[in-house]
Amino acid sequence: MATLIELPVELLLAIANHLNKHQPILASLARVAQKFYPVAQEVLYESPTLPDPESNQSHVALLVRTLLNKPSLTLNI
Amino acid sequence: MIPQERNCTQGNCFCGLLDLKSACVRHAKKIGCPVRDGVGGYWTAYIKTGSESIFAGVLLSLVPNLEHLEIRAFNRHQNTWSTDEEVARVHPVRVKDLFECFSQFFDWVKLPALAKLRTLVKFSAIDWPLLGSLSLSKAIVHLDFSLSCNDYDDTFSRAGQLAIGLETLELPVSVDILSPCGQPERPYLTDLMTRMPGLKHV
Repeated sequence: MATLIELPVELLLAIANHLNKHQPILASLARVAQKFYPVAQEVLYESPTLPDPESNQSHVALLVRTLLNKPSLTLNI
Repeated sequence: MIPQERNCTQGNCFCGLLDLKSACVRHAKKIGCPVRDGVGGYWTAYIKTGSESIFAGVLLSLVPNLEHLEIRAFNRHQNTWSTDEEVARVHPVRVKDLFECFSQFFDWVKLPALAKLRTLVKFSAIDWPLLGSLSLSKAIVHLDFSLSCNDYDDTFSRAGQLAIGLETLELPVSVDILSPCGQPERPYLTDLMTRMPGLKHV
């Protein structure tokens, strides 16, 4: 029986799409293996949700920084 | 690449904001927005402080495939997202607040976030620049407070092309708007509707 990491990217993407409301899980998935990273990232940046603003850290700024660093991600949003 | 963690101070972290400011300025110039840096450039000054609203503006200039946009104010005093009358009245969220540099010289139609925008939800009056999105088909405007329409007058003349594709407009308003006393929302709404020739559902 095939293991998760042996599945083709198309199937992994379909699985990741079921997790699109669970950003922390997708973020964890992205860190599991190199193969999962682009898959999880693609879904993660389709509709990113940021935590409520806090006084000491701007999550929007962090997202902007990521998007400026990786312009290809902006096409997913 | 934008270096990170260069300006971190314990307990009040503004990691990399100076570098981020430079990247934002470069990006703004790239999309045709002249940015005033240094003395008098409050847009860039706000970036260095980590201003959420300024970064929201930068974000809108980074997302060419955006289809749904909802603009709300966050009440830092109550630590909650707010449709609160007082917050909206004191400081309605205006697009030009997000782009000091964009407001005077920028052609709003070129704002990447408007390129494919289909639905728009706003908890105050829609700014005229947002109506520059030709792909917009539905807008929901919450006007349950006394709006100072003067805030929007200065963008009238620069409105340019409007949302000619807009077919549906939802307006959750209070019954006060029907009062003969003339609520400040009424002239705004009149103008809004006359600028939407494709409107089919209100």
